[in-house]
Amino acid sequence: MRRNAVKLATVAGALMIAAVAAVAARHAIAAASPIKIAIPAELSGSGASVGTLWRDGVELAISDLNAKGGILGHPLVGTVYDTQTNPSVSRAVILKALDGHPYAVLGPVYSGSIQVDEPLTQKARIAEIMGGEAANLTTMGDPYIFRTSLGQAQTVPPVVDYLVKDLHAKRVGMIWVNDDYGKGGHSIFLADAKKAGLKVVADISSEAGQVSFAPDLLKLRAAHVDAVFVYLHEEENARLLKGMRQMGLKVPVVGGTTLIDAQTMKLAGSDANGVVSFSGLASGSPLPAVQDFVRRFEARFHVHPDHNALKGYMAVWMVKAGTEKMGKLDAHGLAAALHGMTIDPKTQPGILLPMHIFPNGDIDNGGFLIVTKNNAQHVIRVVPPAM
Amino acid sequence: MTAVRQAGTLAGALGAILAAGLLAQGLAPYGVYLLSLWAVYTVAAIGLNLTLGYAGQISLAQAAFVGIGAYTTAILLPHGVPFGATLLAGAAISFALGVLLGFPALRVQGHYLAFVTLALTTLAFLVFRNESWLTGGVGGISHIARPAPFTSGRGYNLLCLGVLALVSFAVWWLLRSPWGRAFVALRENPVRAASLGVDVRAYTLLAFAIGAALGGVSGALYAPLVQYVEPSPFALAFSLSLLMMVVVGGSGSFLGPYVGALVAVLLPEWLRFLHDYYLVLYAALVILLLIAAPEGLVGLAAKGLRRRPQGHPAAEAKP
Repeated sequence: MRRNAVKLATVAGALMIAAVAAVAARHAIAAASPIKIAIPAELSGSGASVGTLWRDGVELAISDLNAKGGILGHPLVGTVYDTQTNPSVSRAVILKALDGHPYAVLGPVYSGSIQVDEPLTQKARIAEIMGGEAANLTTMGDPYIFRTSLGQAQTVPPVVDYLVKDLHAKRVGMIWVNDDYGKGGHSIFLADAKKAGLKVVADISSEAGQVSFAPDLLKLRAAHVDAVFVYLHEEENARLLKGMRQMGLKVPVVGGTTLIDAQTMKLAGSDANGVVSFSGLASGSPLPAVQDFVRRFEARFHVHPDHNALKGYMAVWMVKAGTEKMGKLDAHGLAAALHGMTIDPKTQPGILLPMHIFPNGDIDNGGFLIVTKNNAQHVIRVVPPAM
Repeated sequence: MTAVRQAGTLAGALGAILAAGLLAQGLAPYGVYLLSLWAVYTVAAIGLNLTLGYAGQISLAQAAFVGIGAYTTAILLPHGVPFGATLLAGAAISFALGVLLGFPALRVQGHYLAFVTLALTTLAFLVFRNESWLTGGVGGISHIARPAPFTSGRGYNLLCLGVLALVSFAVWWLLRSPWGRAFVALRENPVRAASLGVDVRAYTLLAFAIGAALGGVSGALYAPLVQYVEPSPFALAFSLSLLMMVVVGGSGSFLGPYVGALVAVLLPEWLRFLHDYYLVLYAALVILLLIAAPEGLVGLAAKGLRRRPQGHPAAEAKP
């Protein structure tokens, strides 16, 4: 009887110790000092739709990582700052963010805000992993700036290649939007087209928010082009494609990544059938990991994610990969750790595709040449990363 | 009594600038930057207040003049031109454009004038954006250096506040001069002003051009503060924001632009804790303010001060 009581007490003690250990383990992550992540993003103003999805992508990744124990046992805490898509406000918020000594700055997406932030993060020696795609952002010699997607200099050449090798085009037209996105794509396309021997016989600029493309399409028709290269934003893409159908203008349409974006397909409907573009990782990419991300993103935020959400998601995983490479939390060493790194999705699943980071902050994670059909993306061919 | 009150308004403005300078010494870079931005916007709003509040002309071109000042400084500074010279150049170009625009534009009044000035803002935006060889186009001009010895955040804050103090004194002097009285006479009753020998067209033009020049001064301070210029901050939205600063502060009041710029710069920052809803509440507060005090915050305060002495005798009459 006495021996039974001792046994019972021993078992009860062991259970209590196990319970305490389990609770302690659960709370260990909360006890570790948090990793502060600053998230400056365009949450109002003209860039709101882009910046909001970037922020949501970052927040989803932070939740995912915290659920798995954070980074090196430290939980991540994100603080969001609205830049209002205004460079002067962006400078204010990045100063506010840096006053809080963040471990990394994730954002913003618009190149104007990035150019304002970049000297300040560089001075503070904090890695700025941003969503900008404009070509000049990684040519400023800043060792603390990183992309999360391919730059324009990487996405345009595969489309030019398609024009020459698949469509055998000789005379092409180009319609582009006269802002930093469109101008970057315009200059790269003209240079690449010249190198490839294509003759650009119609070079048409348009305005952001332009409602009617009828005059532009008349110019295009008069130029007798073999194909048209379109470099517009999503809504303008849809208006242009609808306008082409209404005018009966039947020429192959290729263009920038936004041309095959889910938003363009949704707005243009069947008029978007058959358009071709090159895309890095996009929400329509035929990868199980991407589709799983899309499902979870939609379940949490009740909107369909685009490539900006994916970029924000991967930015957090880049922080994790760089930190684990160092084996310690070193905010000033993170940028150096990321340079030249190749991140494998087997060890960092949120990176989704193998990613190589170049010394100037550009990345290459390959991509897909895609044609749209019935509101879906279909891969023509996979373009592997050039590592 | 009026002279005392006028001296009091100048003392109030200079006191606010001094307080901002002292406050900046104890603030982190974020707070220092906001105070500098307040000074820059206040200079632009003072210019618009001259045009709108004193000469009674609605202008939507102030953002364009700020942009011209900003681009002038951003373009000239890398060529070794001293900051003082770029500031004067920006002000002179804006003044000249103000005269050139004002000469034909001031034939119309009210909302017609607003549309003409809107056209200038649009035109200036297109020049900033499309003339890439000069302005850097949509990519803008980055890494704009601050003038020595004002290279640090606190140092540049002192420069911004110093220029604001100079502008405040100059405008205070101008408003006390016969020119300032003529501006007010034009606003109150142009026909009566003309019958008293005031050259309506010349004085309206002058108010418009001086307001434009102050926009240029503001822009010259803006470029090294943000250290980056691109076309989008100088579009219509900024003109409307400056107009709001003048109206919220108190159009035609000397201290109005100081208060209005404070509301525009600081209120959204204070409300950031509301996350997704902070701009909604900011807009709602501004609308409520304009309903409650159409004469602006300075007008509301003045009304409050006027009421107080009236209340005392009644209170004292009670047993």
